[in-house]
Amino acid sequence: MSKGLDILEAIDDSSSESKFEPKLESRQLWGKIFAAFCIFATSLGLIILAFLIFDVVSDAASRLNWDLFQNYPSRRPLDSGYKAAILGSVWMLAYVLLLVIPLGVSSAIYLEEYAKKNWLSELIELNIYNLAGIPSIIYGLLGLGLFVRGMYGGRAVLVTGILTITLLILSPVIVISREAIRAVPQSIRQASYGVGATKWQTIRHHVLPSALPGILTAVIISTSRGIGETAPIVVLGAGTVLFDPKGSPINFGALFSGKLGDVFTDTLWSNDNFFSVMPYQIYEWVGSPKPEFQTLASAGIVVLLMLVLGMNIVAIFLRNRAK
Amino acid sequence: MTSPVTPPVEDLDLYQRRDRNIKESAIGYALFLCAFVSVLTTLAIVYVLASETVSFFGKASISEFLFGSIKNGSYTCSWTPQFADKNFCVWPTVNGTLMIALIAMLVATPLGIATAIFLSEYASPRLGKFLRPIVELLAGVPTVVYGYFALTFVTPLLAKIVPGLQGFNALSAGLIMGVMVIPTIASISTDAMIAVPRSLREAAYGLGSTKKEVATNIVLPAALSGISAAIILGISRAVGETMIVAIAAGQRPILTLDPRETVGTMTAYIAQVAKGDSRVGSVEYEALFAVGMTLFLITLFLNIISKQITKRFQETYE
Repeated sequence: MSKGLDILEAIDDSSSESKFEPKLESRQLWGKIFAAFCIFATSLGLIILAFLIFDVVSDAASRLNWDLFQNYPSRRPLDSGYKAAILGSVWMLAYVLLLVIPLGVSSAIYLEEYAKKNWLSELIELNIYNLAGIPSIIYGLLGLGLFVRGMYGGRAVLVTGILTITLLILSPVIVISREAIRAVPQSIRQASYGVGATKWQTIRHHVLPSALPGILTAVIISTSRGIGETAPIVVLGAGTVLFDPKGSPINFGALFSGKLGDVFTDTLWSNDNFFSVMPYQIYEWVGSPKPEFQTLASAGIVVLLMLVLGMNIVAIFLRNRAK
Repeated sequence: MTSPVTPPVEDLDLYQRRDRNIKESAIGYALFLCAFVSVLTTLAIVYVLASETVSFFGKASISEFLFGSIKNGSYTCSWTPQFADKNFCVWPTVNGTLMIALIAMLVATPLGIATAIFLSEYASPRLGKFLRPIVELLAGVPTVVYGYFALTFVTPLLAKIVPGLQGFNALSAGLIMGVMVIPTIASISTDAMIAVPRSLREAAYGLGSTKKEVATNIVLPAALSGISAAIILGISRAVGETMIVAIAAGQRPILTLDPRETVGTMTAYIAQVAKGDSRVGSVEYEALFAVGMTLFLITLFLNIISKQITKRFQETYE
């Protein structure tokens, strides 16, 4: 018994700090350094984004006026503008939305509400996941081989760009829309079935309206990526051309008066309408050796950034409201 | 007695039900067809790439593509399908791609993980919810804009510090690409860290750990599989990125390990040659698809690994 106490005393004697040192001060110092690094890392991206915007705007200042929107591209930098590219981007945006909303939302509904757990659904799911990871330039090669060479005899007409960008953003639209549909509580569906609604009535009147903000977020974020994409358009072989369509992308007059044949004008595929879009035109001018063209490129970037970041901010607001 | 003629109730019900059933199943099939478009897209991509690649290997030897060749008694490995002296060794383009991707990942991995730690461990849930979409905004910037920024801002800045820096170089393209990849890594890693059970953190705090120790010794290892999946997906993004490298890194595929040099990546090569008007059936045109196929296979491989890791990670915590 006395031996046991001896041991205790021995422990007391030998300074306990040598066996366990809390080293609190240095650990807390490291804690602070680490926290500071994490805060720095989080803000660094935003600081760079701010720098980028400041740099671009200051480069572009001399060219930010209405001429930018009214002039076609030309050899003389001071007479050049983005009219063709902006029109091309607007047309592309309109038609990509027209195609990607029904296709993407339908696919998302199928996978969330209809698909049974079998090999086919698994194949489709795996496939969409992989499509989302394929580099955009590969979609450009698809468009070049299938649409430009295969369907339009080597002419990079507007419709080839529209189809390529639609396929490119289809899988992100599906993936994000599915999340929105999945987030609709099961009880809403059960209540609808309970009063005798069919599956489609339930989806149409209850699931889709609840999931709408999420689906809109998906569509807006993905299309903003789509119209900022340069690589696939470069591969298609679009040019910096005088894209000058008559009228608006969709002929609303014909749509409302019921002349469905005239709703889509032939600008999409005829009239040698090799098209141009904003990011492509910017890329052309960034690569130009003349400094005036670089200024012009930066002015285009300001316009493109306002459009793309604006769409993203709208999407963020929608998502926050949905939650 | 004139009573309004009403059809028998059962008949009416039966009629509606049949009508409804037809409509319902038609909608089901229509939705399935839409979902099937994505499968057709994959098939079309594989078909287009494979058919041109096969005819490419009818003209160029597959061993030269993969291993280089012996010309005039000396070993050469260079990629020059568009020149008169044609060489078809793919490694110089792969070299450029991998070097830039490596630089990008050296930037994006620590910053992305640190961002994730801040968002999941340090920030309050409200602040985290507010900051996440803003961090993700970085991925929304069109890459042509990053390319312009790398060329006109980062390269002149670096030229003051780094001696011997070329006007087009792998370094500034890689650094800016790293910024582009941060949101990919941060977003997926944050999800992985949030999924780590609270009890693990509380046990560590109970033993007297500091916040940093909980983050680095408990949360980080527990979320490691999710983080690795994020890093691999980030590499795949970096490998497939085109505009930053086409604008800022140049279009000269060479075998080098010097990040100050002008290089050429697989994607930059595709963009460069596709822009010029190459004839269908010419070897330059087909080389485009052979490089595309290589790129496709590399990114597919990375995506599948990333998916497998994520799957395993979900199984552990659910």
